[in-house]
Amino acid sequence: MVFCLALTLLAAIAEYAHEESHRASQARTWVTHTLIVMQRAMELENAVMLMEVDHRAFLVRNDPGFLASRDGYHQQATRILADLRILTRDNAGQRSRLDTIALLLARRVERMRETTEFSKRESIDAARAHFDPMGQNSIEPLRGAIAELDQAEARLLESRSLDAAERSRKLDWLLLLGPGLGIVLLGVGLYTLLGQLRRSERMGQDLACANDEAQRALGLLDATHDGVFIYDADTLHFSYVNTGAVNQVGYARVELLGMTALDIKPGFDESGFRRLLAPLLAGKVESLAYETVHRRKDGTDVPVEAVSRYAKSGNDAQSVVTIVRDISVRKQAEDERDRFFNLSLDMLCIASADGYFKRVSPAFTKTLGWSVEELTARPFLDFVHPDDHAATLAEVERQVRAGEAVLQFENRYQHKDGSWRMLSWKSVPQTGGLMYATARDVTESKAIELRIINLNRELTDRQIALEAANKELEAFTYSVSHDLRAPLRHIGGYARILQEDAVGQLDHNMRRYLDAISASARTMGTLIDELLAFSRLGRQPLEQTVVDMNALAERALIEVGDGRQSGCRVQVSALPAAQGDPTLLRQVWTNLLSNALKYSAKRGDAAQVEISGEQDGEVTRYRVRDNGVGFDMRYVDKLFGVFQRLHSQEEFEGTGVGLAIVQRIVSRHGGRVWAEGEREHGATFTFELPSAGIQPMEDMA
Amino acid sequence: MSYQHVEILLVEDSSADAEMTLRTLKRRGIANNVEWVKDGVEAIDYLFCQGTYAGRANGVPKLVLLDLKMPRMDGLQVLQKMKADALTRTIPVVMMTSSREEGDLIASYELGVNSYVVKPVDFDKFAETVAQVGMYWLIANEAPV
Repeated sequence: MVFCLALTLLAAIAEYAHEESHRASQARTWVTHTLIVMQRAMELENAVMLMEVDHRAFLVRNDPGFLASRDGYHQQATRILADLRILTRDNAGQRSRLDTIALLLARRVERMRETTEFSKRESIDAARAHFDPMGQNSIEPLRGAIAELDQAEARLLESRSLDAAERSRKLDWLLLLGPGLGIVLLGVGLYTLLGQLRRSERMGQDLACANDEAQRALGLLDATHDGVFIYDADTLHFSYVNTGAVNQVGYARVELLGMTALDIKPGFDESGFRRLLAPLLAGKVESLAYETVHRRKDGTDVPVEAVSRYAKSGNDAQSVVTIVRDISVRKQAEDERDRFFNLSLDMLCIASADGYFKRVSPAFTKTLGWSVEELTARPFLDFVHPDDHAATLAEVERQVRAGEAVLQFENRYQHKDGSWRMLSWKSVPQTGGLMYATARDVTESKAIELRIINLNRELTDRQIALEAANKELEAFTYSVSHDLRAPLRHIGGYARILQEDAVGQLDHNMRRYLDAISASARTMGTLIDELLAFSRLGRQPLEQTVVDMNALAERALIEVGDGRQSGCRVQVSALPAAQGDPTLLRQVWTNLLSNALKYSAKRGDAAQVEISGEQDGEVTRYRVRDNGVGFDMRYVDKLFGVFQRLHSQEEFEGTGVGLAIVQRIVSRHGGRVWAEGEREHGATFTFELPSAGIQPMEDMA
Repeated sequence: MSYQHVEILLVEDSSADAEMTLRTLKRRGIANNVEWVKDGVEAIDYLFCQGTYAGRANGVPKLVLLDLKMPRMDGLQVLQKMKADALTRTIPVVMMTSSREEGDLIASYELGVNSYVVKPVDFDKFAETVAQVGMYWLIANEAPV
C-alpha cells in the first residue's frame, strides 16, 4: 500500500517533472527508474523468502497445502525477475546479476521439487533428510545475489541522484519536494519491507528451530521402547514408524511403510478395526486405549497396549498416531498371578471396604458351593453367620481403618447347601481400601480339635477315675495284706494245733487232711505275698543308677542256690553294665535264674545255665539260657501273664507271678523281655534295657 | 523271779492270733505271765492303770507286743502315747503286724518302736518268730528297768 502510494506519487512527480521541466527530467527519470528497480528487487527477495518459508512449513507439518502457496510465491518471483530484466536491459552488470539470481532460484526450486518428490515417494522423513536448509544449496546464495543486485542499484541511485541534482539546481521546490517526499515514502516502504524481511528472517529461523525440534523429537521417538505408529485414518497405511515400532514387530521400516495397521493386527478384521477407531475419528473421544495382539514378521504374537490419538492436518489428510507398548512381561506376570489365583487350594480374595468381594478364587466356590458371580453379587456379610457379624465388621474396620494385618480370625460362612463352614482368615492391609485376604476352611480341623479337646477331657476324667481306682487298689492291697493273711494264718495255725494236741486221736487220713489244710493255707499265703509284691512294683519309685549286672547276677544266683544242690552248671559271661534300679533288676535276675534252675533240674549233672549279655547300639541285652524242659512256643504269650503257668503244680512248684514281675520291671525300665524255647530242648529268656537316658514307662496299677 | 509280775502285754484284736501267740510263749516256756488286751484303748488303760485297770498293782510289763491295726485306737497311737510318757518310754515295744506297708514301718520307727515284725502266714514260722522275739527281749536283751 505504501509502495503503491509511493509509486503513484513518484509517477505523478515524474509526470509533473516531465511537464514542468523537459530538460532536467532525464536525470530524474533515471533516479526514479533506479528506485523502481530497487523496489522490485526487494519484492523479489520477499517472494523468494516466502517461497522458502512455505516449503519448510510443508516439511514440518507435512501439509501439502503449503506447497501450493510455495509455488505461488515462486511464480511471483519469476514474474518480478522478468520485470527486472526489462527494467535493467540498459545495464549489463545488473543483467548478469539477474542471470545469477535466475540460476540460483532455479536450483533452489529444483531442490524443493526433489524434496516434494521424496515426501511422496518415500516419506516426509526422507524429504526432511534430503532438504538441506543450510550450505551451498540453501536460500542464502540466492538472497546474497539479490542483495548484490540491490546494492548495485543503490549505488546507481546515489550517482544518478547527484547527477540529477546538479543538472536541475533550479528545479522548483515542488520538483525538489516531490522526489524528497517520494524518498520519504520509499523509506517508509523500505522500512516496512525490511520489517517484513526481518519477520521472514525470523520465520526462517523459527522454521530451522522447528526443524531441529522436530529432529530432536524424532530422535526421542526413536529412543523410546514404545512403538510409535502413524497411519492414515482412511487407508490405514503407515506413514511413520519409529525404531521401537520396527523392533516390536520385526519388519524393516521400509516394509512397514508399505503396510497397513491391519497387517499387524490379527485380532481385528477391517470392519472391526474401523468400528474401534470410529469414536476417535468422530471426535467423540480424545484418545483411545485398547489391548490387542501384534503379529510379528516371524509369526509370533506380542500382547500390546495401544493408545491412539487422532491428528488432523490443515488439509484432508488425517492420521492416527498410536503409541504401542509391549506388555508381554506384564501379561505373563498377570497370567502367572491368575494361574496362582485359580489353582491355589487356599481361598484367595480381594474385597473392598464397601463390603463386596471384588474377586474370589475358584477355591471359594469349591468350599462354599456358591459361584463366583453369586459371591461377588452380594455383600460378603450376607454369607457370614449372624453371630459372627459383629466380630467380622470389627475385624474389617480394624484392618481398613487402622491398617493392621489380620493374622488369625475365624468366622462362619454359609455353604450353598445351608451348612456352615468355619473359615480362618489371614489378610494384609492394602492402600485404597482393598483387602487382600486368604481363607482356609478349618471346619474339619475345628471339629477334630473339638474332638481332641473332648477326648482329652475324657482322658483326664479317666485318669482321675484311674487314680481313684489306684487308691482303692492300694487300700485293697493294704487290707489284703492285713486282713486276708491273718485268717490264712489262723487256718494253718489251728490245723497245726489240732495235729499237735490230738495227735493220738487222729488216724492216718485225718492227719493227711490236716496236712492238706496247712499246705493250702501256705500256698494261698504265698500267692497273696507275690500278688502284693507284683502290685507294689507299679507304685514303687524307680531308682536310676549304673548297675553292675555281673554282681547282681552273682548275688541272685547265690540267693536261688546257685545250682549246686541240683548239680547244675552255671556259666556267667562278662555282662555290660545297665542303667536302672538295682533292687528291681536283681529281682529280674532272681526270677529268671530260679526258673532256669527249676526247669533244668531234671537234667541232673547235665543241667546247664548260661548267662550272657551284650551292648547293641541303643540297647543292652541280657540272656539266660537253660537246657531244661523248655516250653511249647504256641503258649509263649501266656508265659508273662500273671498266674499263667505252662506246667502243673505237681510238676514244678510256682505261683505264675515270677515272669509277670520280670516283665513289669523290664517294661518300667523302658525295655522289653521275650522268650524262645522248644519242648524238652530248653528255653532262652532275653531282656533288653535302653543303654542310656531311660524313659521309664510309668504304668499304673 | 516274780510270776505275779506281768512279763508281756499282748495287744491284739484277733483272738486267734492272741491264742496262738499265748500258746507259743507258754509251750516254749518263755513267758507265763502274759496279759492280753484287745485294743489300743485297753492297752493304754492297762499301762497307765486307768479305766478298767484303775487300781491294778502288778507294775509295768517287760515287753509290749503291739498289733498295728486295731479298732478304736491303733498300734501307732498306742506307741506314740507310750513313748511320750516317762513311765512307759523305756518299755520295749515290738510291733507285730500283718502289714508289710512301708508307711507303717517307717512311722513305727519314727515313733521309737524297738522292733518291727511281720507275722508270717505260715503257722510254724509264726510260732518260731514269736518265740524268737520273746527270747530276745525277755532273756537276751538287758532292759533298763
